[in-house]
Amino acid sequence: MKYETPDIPEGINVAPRNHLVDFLILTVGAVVIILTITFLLSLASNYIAKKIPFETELTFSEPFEEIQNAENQETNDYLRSLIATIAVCSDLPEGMEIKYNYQGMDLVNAFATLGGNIVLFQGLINKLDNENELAMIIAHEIAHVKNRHPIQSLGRTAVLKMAFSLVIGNSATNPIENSGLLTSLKFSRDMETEADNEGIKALNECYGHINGATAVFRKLEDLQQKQPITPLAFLSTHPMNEDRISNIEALAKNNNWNRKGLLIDLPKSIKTKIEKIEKIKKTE
Amino acid sequence: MAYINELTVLTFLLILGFVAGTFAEGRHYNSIKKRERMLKRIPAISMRTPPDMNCDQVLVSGNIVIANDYFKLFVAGLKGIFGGQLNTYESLLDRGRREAVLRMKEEARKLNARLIVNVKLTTSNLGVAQNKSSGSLEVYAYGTALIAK
Repeated sequence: MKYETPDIPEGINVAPRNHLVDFLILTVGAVVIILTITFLLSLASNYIAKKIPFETELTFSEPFEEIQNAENQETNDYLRSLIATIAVCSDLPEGMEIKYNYQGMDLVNAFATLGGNIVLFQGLINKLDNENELAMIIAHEIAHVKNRHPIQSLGRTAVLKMAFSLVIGNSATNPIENSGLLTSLKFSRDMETEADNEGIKALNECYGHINGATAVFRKLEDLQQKQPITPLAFLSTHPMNEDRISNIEALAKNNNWNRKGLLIDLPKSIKTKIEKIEKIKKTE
Repeated sequence: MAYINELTVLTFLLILGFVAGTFAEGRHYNSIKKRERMLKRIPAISMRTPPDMNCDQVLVSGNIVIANDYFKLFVAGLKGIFGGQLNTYESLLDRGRREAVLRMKEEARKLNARLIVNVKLTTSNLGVAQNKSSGSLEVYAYGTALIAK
């Protein structure tokens, strides 16, 4: 008997196939499916987020909180009492509490985030002329908290991250990132309008008029126009436009709110020199 | 947009995997085919008993560890979602088996063997961690080399 080795035939065990075509079909398919699921999930998360009790929101936001106060006790007392007053006017649901945070940075910004935290920057306070303007900003941020916008935004971010980690393949990271003060979440245009509407209502409730409400938004817009190179942080988190300002004005007109009331001065001590951002970056 | 960075890395890895993987596979196949012709005179068969008992019998073996490139792993990962034949693994296994047999024959050649009988192949998955396969595998070929006395 004779034994021999035949030539191994090619193309049987390894099917000739263009992997690039496979890759394209599979990738496009996966992307379409993931986009569809992401869209449906973000719709669902918007719905579900509102149903999550505020106490539950606190349990997962609190470990990341690090409430910060101004060095000046007078400023703290003033801001805290102003926030408390507007919170009362905002008609918050039971159990919801607004937490005051202060940042001494040269950043024209203010935002609301998880756990009822409201963050005010000295940079913004320095640009304001009276208490009513500050009150409008605070009322706007409180309205975000009242309408559960931070947790809705978190839900949407979490869904997007999940979808992305599916594609990239790494395990989903905690959606509440950055220890210390929670970073600002992005709110949709509808959320901003809702916060405007409720904010101005609370302002009217507190002061009996809405003087200063549109002025503050206009002022920030003008500031931006004057120095377009350095964008105002507030406008990047709160995209402002003529529509929003005219929406506020229309609302005031329809409700017959007084647009010319007494403006209250800000306490002198509140406008302070601000730490330069560079300095803060160094200490970090 | 931190995702942009991750997407860039992914795209880079895919392109690198595709280019380097295609190059490495082509080179490996060329080498395999060349050596298969060289070692053709030592047949490796799966018959269990030697046809001629009047010769020395020695265990010979060949072993290889081989990894798939990132592009093929990625395609296989997508197939893992939708199902279907994992064609991208076929060439890896084919190369592994043929290389292992060649290394076994290489050993037999050094022993001046004229035939290898009872040839068997085993395959195992390597680098299994966190329930994820790294896409590398080991192929081990062994058999009984017959050496004329």
